[in-house]
Amino acid sequence: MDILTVDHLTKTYGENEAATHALNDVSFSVAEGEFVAIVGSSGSGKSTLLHLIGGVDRPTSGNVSVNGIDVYSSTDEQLAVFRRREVGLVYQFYNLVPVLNVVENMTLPVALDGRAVNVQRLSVLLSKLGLRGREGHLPSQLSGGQQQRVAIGRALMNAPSIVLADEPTGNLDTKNSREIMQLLRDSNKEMGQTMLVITHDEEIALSADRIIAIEDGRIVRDERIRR
Amino acid sequence: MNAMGRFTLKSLRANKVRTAVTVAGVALAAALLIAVLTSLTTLNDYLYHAEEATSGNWMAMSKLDDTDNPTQQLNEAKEAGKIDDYAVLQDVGFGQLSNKQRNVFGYYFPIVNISENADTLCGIHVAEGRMPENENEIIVIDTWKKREGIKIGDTLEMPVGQRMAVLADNASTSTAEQPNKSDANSNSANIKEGDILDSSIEYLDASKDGGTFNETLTNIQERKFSVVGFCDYIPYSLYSISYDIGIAAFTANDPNANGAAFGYITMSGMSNTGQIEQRAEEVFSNSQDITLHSSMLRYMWIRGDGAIWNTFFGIVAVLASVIIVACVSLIYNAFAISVAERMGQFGLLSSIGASRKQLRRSVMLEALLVAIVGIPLGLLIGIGGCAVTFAALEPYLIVAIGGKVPYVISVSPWAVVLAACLTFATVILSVFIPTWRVGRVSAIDALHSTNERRVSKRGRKKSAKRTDLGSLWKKRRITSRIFGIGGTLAHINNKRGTSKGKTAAISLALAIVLLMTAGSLNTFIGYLVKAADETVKYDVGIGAQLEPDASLDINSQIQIYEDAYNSMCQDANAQPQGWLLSNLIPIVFPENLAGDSFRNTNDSSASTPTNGGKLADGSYGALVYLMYIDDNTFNAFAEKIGASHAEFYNPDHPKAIATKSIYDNNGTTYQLNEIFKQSGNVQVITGGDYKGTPVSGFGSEYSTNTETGEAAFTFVPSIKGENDTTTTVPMDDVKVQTESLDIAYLADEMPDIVGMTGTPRLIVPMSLAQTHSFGTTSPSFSAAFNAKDNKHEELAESLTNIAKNQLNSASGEKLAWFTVNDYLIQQDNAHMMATIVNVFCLLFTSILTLIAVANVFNTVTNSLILRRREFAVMRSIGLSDKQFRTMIMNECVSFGVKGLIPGMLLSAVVSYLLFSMVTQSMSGLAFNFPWTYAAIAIAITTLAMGVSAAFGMHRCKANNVVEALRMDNI
Repeated sequence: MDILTVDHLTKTYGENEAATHALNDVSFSVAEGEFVAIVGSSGSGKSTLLHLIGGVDRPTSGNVSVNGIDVYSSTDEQLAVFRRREVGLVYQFYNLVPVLNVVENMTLPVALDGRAVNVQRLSVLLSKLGLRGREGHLPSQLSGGQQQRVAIGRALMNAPSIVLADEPTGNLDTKNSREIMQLLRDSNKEMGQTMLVITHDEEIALSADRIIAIEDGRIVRDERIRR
Repeated sequence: MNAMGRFTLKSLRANKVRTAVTVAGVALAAALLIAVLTSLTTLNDYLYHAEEATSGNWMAMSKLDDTDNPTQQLNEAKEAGKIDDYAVLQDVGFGQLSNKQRNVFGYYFPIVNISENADTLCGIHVAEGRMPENENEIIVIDTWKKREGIKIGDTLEMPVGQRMAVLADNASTSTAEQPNKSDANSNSANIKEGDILDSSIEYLDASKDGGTFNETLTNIQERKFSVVGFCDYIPYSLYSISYDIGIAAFTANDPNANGAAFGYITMSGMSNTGQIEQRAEEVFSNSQDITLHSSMLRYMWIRGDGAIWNTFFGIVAVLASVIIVACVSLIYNAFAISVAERMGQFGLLSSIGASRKQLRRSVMLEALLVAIVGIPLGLLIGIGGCAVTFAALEPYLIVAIGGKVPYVISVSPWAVVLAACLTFATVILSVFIPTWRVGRVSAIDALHSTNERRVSKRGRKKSAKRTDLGSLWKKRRITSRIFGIGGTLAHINNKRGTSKGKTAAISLALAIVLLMTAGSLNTFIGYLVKAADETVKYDVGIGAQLEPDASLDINSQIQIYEDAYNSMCQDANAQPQGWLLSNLIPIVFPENLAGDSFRNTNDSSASTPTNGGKLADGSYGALVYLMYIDDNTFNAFAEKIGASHAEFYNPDHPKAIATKSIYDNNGTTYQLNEIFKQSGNVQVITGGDYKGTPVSGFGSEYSTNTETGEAAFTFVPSIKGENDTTTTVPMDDVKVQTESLDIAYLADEMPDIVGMTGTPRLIVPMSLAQTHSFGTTSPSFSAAFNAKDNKHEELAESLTNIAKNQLNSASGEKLAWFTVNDYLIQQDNAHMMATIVNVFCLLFTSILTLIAVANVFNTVTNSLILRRREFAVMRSIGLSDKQFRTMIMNECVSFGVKGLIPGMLLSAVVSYLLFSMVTQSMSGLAFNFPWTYAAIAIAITTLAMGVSAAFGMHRCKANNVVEALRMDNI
């Protein structure tokens, strides 16, 4: 079953002659539990695609449906609810809230949703992410790798339909990069979590189930890796 | 220009909004300073010129001993360099006027010989024609043209003589003396029989002034004068000519002038009134009779000893401090924000090799550039604003002195330099801390910390404790319960974050202080202005009293006065303001009612109303005015103070409204004297019986108890003897009749017609007189009118005719006295000053409000905009707009509380400081924290914060999440 359907998605910045197509008529779909790597050169439109899927930006035309929800027909308020329940976002620069500690950052989407924290899940995630003993630390007291683990924890905490990661290892050393990717793959395998990962790293891309390559706002390649 | 310089310029240009905000901050500070200084110099300049035009620029005057050659003494002083210039006014004689002329011009036609320079020194100006050149030429007030049809070139012929004191018919001894009531010669010897009276001595009329002398003209000669010019104004501050005797006319070079002579002098290089007095004593070779032109000296910035000067400088000092603090805060915030936003930039520059010195220089250069643009801009705005305000104000000011002096903005160069220097110093002071912070920053820190709010040590400790997985996000606090996650996040932000919230809180506190300063200023200056300007609030006032007539009861008198008032109301120009009858009556009341002014009778320094105090038996007594106000005016007033007027008409239970306090002025300080502490019952002494003779009236006196040394107040009854002579009798031997009167309300204000100065007042409705007639003498009548279309002169004349006709002929009674006052003509400096001070306060308030609001806007908006990346992150993981709003609202409330409480405390201090400045020149004021202004201040600040937060949020949202997230560090 397709958990994500992207349908003729176009995003244009500027008007008339000055118009730039960040995304130009992109369509694809992702099945539940798939691990998709999105590759492409700088400025090809990868991040725009991710933001549009995550509901943090609105397209010029086209549709995205996640888990059967038509993302852009929602109001802003519904979109906020959509983001906290259906999507987990992981950024290159972690983007944690500086005044919140590790567990608070991880559980923020749950709190925003007004639901009780699933202590068991949180406990499991903390162990898996290697953040035991660091629960009360603030982002400024953590290394880059640790901060990214917190960000992943935050993305996974709500068991969203889809996790969108924008170059999650772009800011990390090799060791940390491997560990982070392993975490993402583990959650994909063990929890059946659908993943969409933007990366420049060929090794990471090749470890995915499927690679979508984007150039100049268009999909130029979409292939499944056969193992 | 080096690389850093170019970089600074580029970054200023690239961040137009931020640069504009910083420049605006500097400009606003400069504008405020120049506006305050220019207002001061302009007002002072204007008042100086107004005073010069109306009274001349003399600095000291005195009577001259040598009347044969009065100028000699002064000429010598001038040649010796002791004085700059002089003028002499010498009595020539007093012209006799016809009875009809006397009604218009006063008792005499005083003829005064003027020396050269009398025009500039004494303010004698011709409006038409020219100054007199010899003893046969004369200039007169232009009323002669209007009333008598005199034209230039006409000849005035009249008998001219000398005034001489003669003993009044009923006075008993020829050696009688009476004090000399002269404006200029307050210390001169007493008047004796046969004395020649100079023009400074008031008209003597024993039957009116209660003295023992009348006066007559002697050595009368027929004189002819050719009228060569008209004055539209005779300077009434020429102390040598009593206002009372007539309107002076001026001639020149009269060789026969040998009357009293008065010298007026100007000098330079004087810095205080003591020096001027000393120099004047040398010049005039006498030490007693010197009068200083104190209002003129004030406008020349020559310091006097009056308490009002201490108040003035005190207030200026407090305001200056507040302005400086406000400006520093505004500019400091603008720079701090600019530097904070650019921390990342500085990190980058530092990482590519910029030294600390270069970074500091970059900020300093930025400050310099902003100052170069902002200061001249601010000066222009400030001066322009003043020009516009004063232009709008001009019509109100020129009314006061008949439009003689053009009102032009005066920008003094020192004010411009001072404002520019102060602002520049403020800029330097404001950039010092941010610059230091820039120099301290390490490249890595700057690059990392960009856009990351720093967490306080306490915040770190707190967050370390919040690790119990089971109780995460539990709604412990009330804000969390009500506002949900938004409230919780706001709470966490406030508890763990550093500085930014504090900046906003400080700016809020400052806003409160600024607004409250303005409010306190208005309140306390208001007291002072009111006390100084307790002038009449209507245009024309009529006063009269009928000759006492035993057959005429109070109700018949009311009927006569009411008829007269109604007839006066028929005049086409009249806008009636009400009428009243008043009587000075003795009252006795218990101690718990007595206000402070009656209690301080032992303390000579305390303010004491002249007629009230503790009686021998421990209760209190006072002579007060009981005023019967016409029912309509009374009812309107009763409603205004929230009383039901009906209760005042019950004949079985008479009630009155009393003044809580009255204004007074003891020469150095204004006083607000508390009369009654609370409402309650008083006993009115309505009459008395001395051994079978009815008491005709009550006076009062203070005596000292020889045993206790305490001052006691007593009423002094008097009875009429044979030939209408009055004798006082001991109070102990008088059987008094009393009536009970309830003071039902104490009012802070009285109806315009009643007034608030001098003697305490009780007011009752006119109808009460039908059943209760208080007082032993017949009442006096006052009526007040406003003039339609400003035709006050015509109105005064026509009301005089109507009233005299009604009260004299139509009623068949005789008038004891009659007065008419055209208050519009008498509007004087006090009123003009009051207008100016009020406008100045308004101007000051508006500018302070602007600064306060700008500061709050700057800090609150920027504290949000600086966090936009943080907000974007939260929104990308599902923070809804509503939750976002709740969070910001909660944070604002917490800034508010943090700012409000210290702000209020600080305001109380500033307010008290201003209050203590004002009390130096006004006693009897109680310190009241200006709660109304506090409420307004809180409202304005909250509104400013709300608008700023809304704008900040709008800006954060306008930057859509993606852009904010992408926002480069540099």
